[in-house]
This record gives sequence, structure tokens and C-alpha cells, in this order.
Amino acid sequence: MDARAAEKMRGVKKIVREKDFVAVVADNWWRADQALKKVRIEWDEGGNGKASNETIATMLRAGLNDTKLPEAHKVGDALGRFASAAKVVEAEYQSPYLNHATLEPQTCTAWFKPDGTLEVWTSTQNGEASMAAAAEASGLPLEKVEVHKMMLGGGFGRRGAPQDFVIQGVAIAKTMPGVPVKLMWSRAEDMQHGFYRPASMVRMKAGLDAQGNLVAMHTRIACPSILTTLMPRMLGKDGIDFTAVRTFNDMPYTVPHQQVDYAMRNGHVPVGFWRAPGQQNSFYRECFIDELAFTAGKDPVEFRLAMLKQGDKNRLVLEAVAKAAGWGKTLPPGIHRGVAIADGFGSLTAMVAEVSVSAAGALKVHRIIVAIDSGHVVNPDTCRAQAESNVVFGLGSILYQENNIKNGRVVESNFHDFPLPQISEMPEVEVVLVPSGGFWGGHGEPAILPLTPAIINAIFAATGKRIRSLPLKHHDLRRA
Amino acid sequence: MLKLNVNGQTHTVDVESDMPLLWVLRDHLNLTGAKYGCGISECGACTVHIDGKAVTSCTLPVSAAVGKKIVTIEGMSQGGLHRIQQAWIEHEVPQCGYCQTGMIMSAAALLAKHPNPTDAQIDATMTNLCRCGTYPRVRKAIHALATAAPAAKKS
Repeated sequence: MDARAAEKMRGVKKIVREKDFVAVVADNWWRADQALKKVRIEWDEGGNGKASNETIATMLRAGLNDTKLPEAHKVGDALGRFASAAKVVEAEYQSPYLNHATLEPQTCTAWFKPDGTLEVWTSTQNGEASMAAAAEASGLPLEKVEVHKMMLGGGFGRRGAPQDFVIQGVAIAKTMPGVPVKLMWSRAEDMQHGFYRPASMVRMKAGLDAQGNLVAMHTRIACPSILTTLMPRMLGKDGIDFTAVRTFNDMPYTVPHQQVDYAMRNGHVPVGFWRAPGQQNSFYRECFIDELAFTAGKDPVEFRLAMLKQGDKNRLVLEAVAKAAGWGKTLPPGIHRGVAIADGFGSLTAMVAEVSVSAAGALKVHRIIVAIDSGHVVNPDTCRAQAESNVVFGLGSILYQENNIKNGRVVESNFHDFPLPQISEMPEVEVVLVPSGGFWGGHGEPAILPLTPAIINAIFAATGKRIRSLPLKHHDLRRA
Repeated sequence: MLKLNVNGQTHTVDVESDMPLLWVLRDHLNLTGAKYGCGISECGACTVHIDGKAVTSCTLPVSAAVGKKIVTIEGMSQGGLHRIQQAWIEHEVPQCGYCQTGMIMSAAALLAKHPNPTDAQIDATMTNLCRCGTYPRVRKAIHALATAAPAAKKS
């Protein structure tokens, strides 16, 4: 590192060099950022300096092809049932890494006070984790650390389990005892040092009988493990990460023969809880179910209802959304619909998306109708706001967001290459609350689960095209 | 030394002329309402008014604001809440809130120009990014603030 030029710049107080980062402390954030750009740093890239989208895809595909994977779920004998199936359908789906892109970049203010205590102000979703991280980074016992939980500019899972920003903020302040130091990442630093929604690849194989009923399903999932990265003690038997296999290992559909295999393939990109951890599995499962309904020549709502037992609460939300959306009734010319269901985070959801695709292939999502059963509802307006939030949060990931890896690093650096939807892209969101009682479910995450498959299935209805990877910007949506 | 007129008061600041206005406001004048979100005028969290126009202060060199009237969210109203802020509360618009000062500054500039904006005008002007999804309520609150009859709402 050569910081001589930076040290002379106006307002610069200190250049901090630690094991895995360099920081500039100045009397003004912009001055610190300007000076940091003048520090010449030669990084040791370790063994991953050549990692790329291609090497990660190769790693995931090798996982799918591994013949000795641990089973996350098994009912009956799926592998033995395919031979006698009337029809067998196979498909492979995939998703990229995704940054949380909280509008406020990661921040932490730390102050080693003259009395030997440490005071920390940070935007955190988990104050206890912040406190533990501050204690560990400072070397002080917990009783000498105080953490102020500030209003946070978006969390979505970024500010929970990973407390890298607290560790870094405290490490910087430790070099300047007595002086409160505020750390704020630039957008590029935030975009390129995330705990990303895992990139994953899934291969599904299904057997239908002569009547078009789904009788056997085999799913292979290659996905980095969030729990291994952040909470290894939560891992299940045989290293099964429930965030990677959910939606398949707990499918509500009555399929007599099921098998789910999990290939944990971690790579070097840190992964984390991204709003509704495992939500990409809803995309895979519910789009594949749509493929099966089409193959069986059945209506997607009827196909699903036939696989849901009487009394299963998934039926209630599916019937509620079908009724609210007028499923089966004629739509205005050019408008097409898709449906999906999902359960997770304590609640059940079903969604209908109404979209149009122009002759030039331009997609417009007009309306989202979502039914949610959270058991009870305390504040209906908050529930609606959370559903609206889930829709816009998920929409960007469907349309254009992705984090690509090149030379070991994240390529994207700001909102010009990782765009967020604007107000003009926001569809109408109609929320149907159907609390059935008996349990308390969440609202912060469930509505994002069925969003991708509902929209992608609507695109199939509009164009006849099956989209099996995201984001949509890589696909030509002109009618097949 | 640069002289700035911020929220009706004159301030003298000793800063580089190319320092973006946002950092003069936040780190020198302690007006922390305007937020940093991107630093490249993509997100609008730093929006302030310069001579009544909504401007992203994260890329505006402070020298370009000299001799002009700068208004931040702190200067929107003299005591009490501005009517836009009241509408925001009434419609429960904010979620995390980080983008909302910029959103309100953009809405104020829009309503000053178009007291009864169409949806198309809202789409064209309210380009502030919100990660939480407050857009439907932003639109509702702006329409509620419109002074003319609601017949003109749909574009």
C-alpha cells in the first residue's frame, strides 16, 4: 500500500490498514472517499482471482450431476416410478446472485471512550449480533459495549446475521481512541461486498400418469449454503441447508413419490438471507408446476387444487385469489395471467399476475392480486404495505437485477448497472387478506415468494415462451 | 470561502469548490435530511431545491449553488409540518424512510409546477428510487394534494 499522496490531502486524519481492508478517516465523508481513491493498494487475490460466472456455473452443474448427493426429502420411490409414467417432463432452472441494495449503504459509528467503554451507533436488524460483533472486534467484554440501534435505511436481511460493517467500524475507531468515527460505505463498496442471494441451479423431473396426475417428482438442487456462511450450527443432518431445499422438501402437493437431493456448492461469493431466503425455489417449483399443468392439458388453478387435500389452508388462499382475480373469466385484449402459490415465514400466499407483452417484446406488469393467510391480522394497512413492498422488491430481480462475477469480483457497482424499479413500473397491487385463525404468520416476506412464478407463468400465457432463468433482460419476449 | 443561502440563511463555508453540495449540507452545515444513496444522481435520496427546482445534490459542485436559493427538507416549512409531509403521514407512505426526504422534495417541485399532475407527469418526475416499495402511496398522496378536481387524475 502506498498512501503518501492520500495522507497529504485536505481533511485526511488517518489511513487505516487492516488485514482485509484499507480505510481513510477524514473530517468529511467526501474528502475521505476522494483520498481513498488516491491510495495505491495491491491486493492479494488468493485463489479466487480468476473466478467468474462460468466457473460458478460449472461448479453448480457439477453439483447437479453428482450421483452421490444427500437426500433432503424422500417419499415413496420417485426414481423407480418414472419408467411406468405416461409422460416424463424435465427442466433446468437457474438464478443469479443478488445484492440487497439497501438504499442506505452499510454504516457504523464507533467511539472508544476515555472511560474504557465502547459506544456504537449502527443501522442493524439484530442489536444483539451487533453487540457481540462489537465486543469481539474491540476485545472488550460485553458489559463495556453499548449499541444504539438506529433507524435503518432498509435491511432485507443484509443487516441481520452479517455484522461485517460493525466489525469494520469498530476496528477503524480502535485505531483512534477517544474519537468517534463514522463509517459509511460508498454505493460501489456496498454493491461489491454483500452477502448475496445465492446463485443456484435446479433440475426437476416429473412423471405424469395417463390422466395427467403428477405421480413422481425428483428435484436436484445445487445452491450455496447460507447457513454454512452465517449460522453453521443450524445446518441439518447430512449438511442439509433448509434455506436451499425449502419449497421442495415441504411441498404441499400430494405427490406420492418425491425425492429432493441437495448439492451444497459454496464457491467464494458470500451468501446471505435476502428477503425471503430460498425464494428462488418458488420460482422453480411453481413455474415447473405450470409446465406440468400445460403438458397435462389442465387449468393451472385446477391442476394445483387437485393436488391439495381438503382442509389444506393452501386451498383457501388459492381459491381466494382465483375469485378476486376473476380467474377463468375473459380478460381485456392483450392481458394474460399467471398463478402461483407459496407458503413460508408462517403465512400462506397465492398470487395472480396480469401482464401484457407487446409485439416488440416489451413486458408490462399491470396488476398483482395476492391472497395472504397469516392466521391473524393486527394492522391490515401494514400488511398491505408489506405486500406492495414485496412486489417492488421482487420486480427488479425479475426484470433486470443480477450480480455477475468476473476476475473474482462483483461486476456491478451502482444503480446504473443494478437498477431498481421506478414508480412508472409499479403495478397495481390488490391485497386480499384471508386470516383463517389458529396461527400467527409473517407479512414481511411471504408475498415475494409467488411473485416471480406468477409473472413468469403469465409471460408464458402471453407468449408461449418458457423462461427458466433470470433476469428477463436476457430474454427475447417476442411471441414464439 | 463560499457564501451559501440555505433555507433562507446565509452560511459561509470553507470547502473545496468541487465538493458536492450534499456533503457541505451534511458534514459542514449539519443538515442531515438529504441522504447519500448512490453519488451518481441515480437514486434521488439527496434531492434538494435550487431556486425552486429539484436537484440531486450528490453530484452538484457546491460552487454551482453559490448565489442561489437552496432549500432542504429542514427548510420546507416554518414551524409545523408542510402539507406534503402531512399527506405523507395520512397515507402512511414511508417504510424505512431513507428515500423519503428526496421523494418529498421531488413531489414539492412537481406540485409547484403542476398543481394537479397526471399519472404520466408523476411517472416522468418522481424518478426517485425506493427499495421498500412506497410508490403506490406516493402516487396516492400526490393525487390527494392536487388542488383541482380529480377528473384530470388519469393520464
